[in-house]
Amino acid sequence: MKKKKEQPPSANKGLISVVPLGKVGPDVIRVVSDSLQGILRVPVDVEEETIIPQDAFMEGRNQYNAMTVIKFLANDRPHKSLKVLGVTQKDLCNPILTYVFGEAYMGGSAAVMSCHRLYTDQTGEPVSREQFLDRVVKVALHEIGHTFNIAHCHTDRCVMRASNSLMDLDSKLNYLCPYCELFLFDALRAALQ
Amino acid sequence: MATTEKRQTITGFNFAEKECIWMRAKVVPVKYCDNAFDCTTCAFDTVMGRKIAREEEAAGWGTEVSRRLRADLRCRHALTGGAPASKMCAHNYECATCPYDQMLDDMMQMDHTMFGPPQYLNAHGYRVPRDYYIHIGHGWARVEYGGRVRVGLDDFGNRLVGTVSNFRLPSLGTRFKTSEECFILAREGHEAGVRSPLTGVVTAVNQKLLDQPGVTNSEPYTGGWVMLIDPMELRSDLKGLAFGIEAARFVEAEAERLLSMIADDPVAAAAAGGEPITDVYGAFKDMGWDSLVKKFI
Repeated sequence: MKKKKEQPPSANKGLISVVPLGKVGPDVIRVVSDSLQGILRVPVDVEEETIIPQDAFMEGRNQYNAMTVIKFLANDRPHKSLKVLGVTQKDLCNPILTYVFGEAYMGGSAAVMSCHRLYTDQTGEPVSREQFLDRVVKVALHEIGHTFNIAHCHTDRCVMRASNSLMDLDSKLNYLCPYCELFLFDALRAALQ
Repeated sequence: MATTEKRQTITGFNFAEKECIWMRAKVVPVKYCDNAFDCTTCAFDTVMGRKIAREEEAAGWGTEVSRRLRADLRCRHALTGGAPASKMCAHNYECATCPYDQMLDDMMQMDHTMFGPPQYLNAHGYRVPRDYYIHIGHGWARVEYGGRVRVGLDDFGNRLVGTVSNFRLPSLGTRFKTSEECFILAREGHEAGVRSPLTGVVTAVNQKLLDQPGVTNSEPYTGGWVMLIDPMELRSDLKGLAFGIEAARFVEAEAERLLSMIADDPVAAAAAGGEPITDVYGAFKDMGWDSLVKKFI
């Protein structure tokens, strides 16, 4: 049971880490991490909660700048996994969008998603817990997909299709179409070599 | 971040039975695993390793472990389902230098769930993966990274049902007990509920099956997975499932039962050769859904 020696740094570590940014329900984090592993078929870890960087807060909008959060996840904290996904309850936006469900840099090492706008329908009525979790999974998959350099897809219900509204989000499913899956596997192969 | 090496314990989702191997060995009185039985990245295990190393000179460690573990010397991979439940440790829990441990780790790192098919045993032409657990109702379970369990319908079940027209998947967060119906597949107005191989909470579902239900027929053990379950009583549940050769023998027995039902002749059960047809129900519809499909699933 002694610590193994001479193993590559990534051995037995998840390729993706899920990081709660502030208080996020354990069931949400568990569903996100398990769904990423289940659907992408790569090992996923859960990291300890981290406080969302305060310099991301945009006082005039009472929202957090997703781009600042991504930079924080990618650069200001060490992580051993290939990709990191931050999950927060805070409302996210970027300078030109009134809100974002999530954001990632194409081919980057970090992505962030927010649960804030996923609890209700278009009219503001709360949706079921099942529907909420279903949305969370889709946003998580979509943003992590971008970090593997997968662009927006135009296939009917592929999870990489762009979604500007909750209706768009609800109408797609939680899987990658064959093309996006191929891009993912190519990106993974390249990253693991 | 220093915390990356330690996986969190998520309240409400962990194994009911999760005694650390050091607790099982009675070296420490109370310690529950919070690292998915991955001793190689466990801080507690590292500390205990150092402690034992210090004591090793005073007393032979191997002898001490053997003495304390005489009752239960099971391999750490048997605790997570990566090895048969009966697999015993033959290396005094020196996993770092154990060839069996290294072999299993290598297999996990090859990650045949990611890019390639699993290795199969042949059970009268039906595929039975070597490292999957099979339930009596033909659901399969595979323990994965982090203690998560992937679930689906086995090759025999898929060939029996034939062309599935649609699936009804459980909602995320649903809790199932062993042998409760956990997902439903339908064909031509008939439905069959597939029973859960183990107790746990659904934490992922494969919605691809809603768009492409045929995936489960063509790739029952890979792309045709149905859900991920966060197990609650993993160790005891796995004891009730068939694994490896035992699973192959179970499927062989089921194949013989099916053949004797269809042929209505017990002697026919001794037939061998050829590959099973891909749509048994479609070929023998007159037998009826209930008396064919539901006899097995």
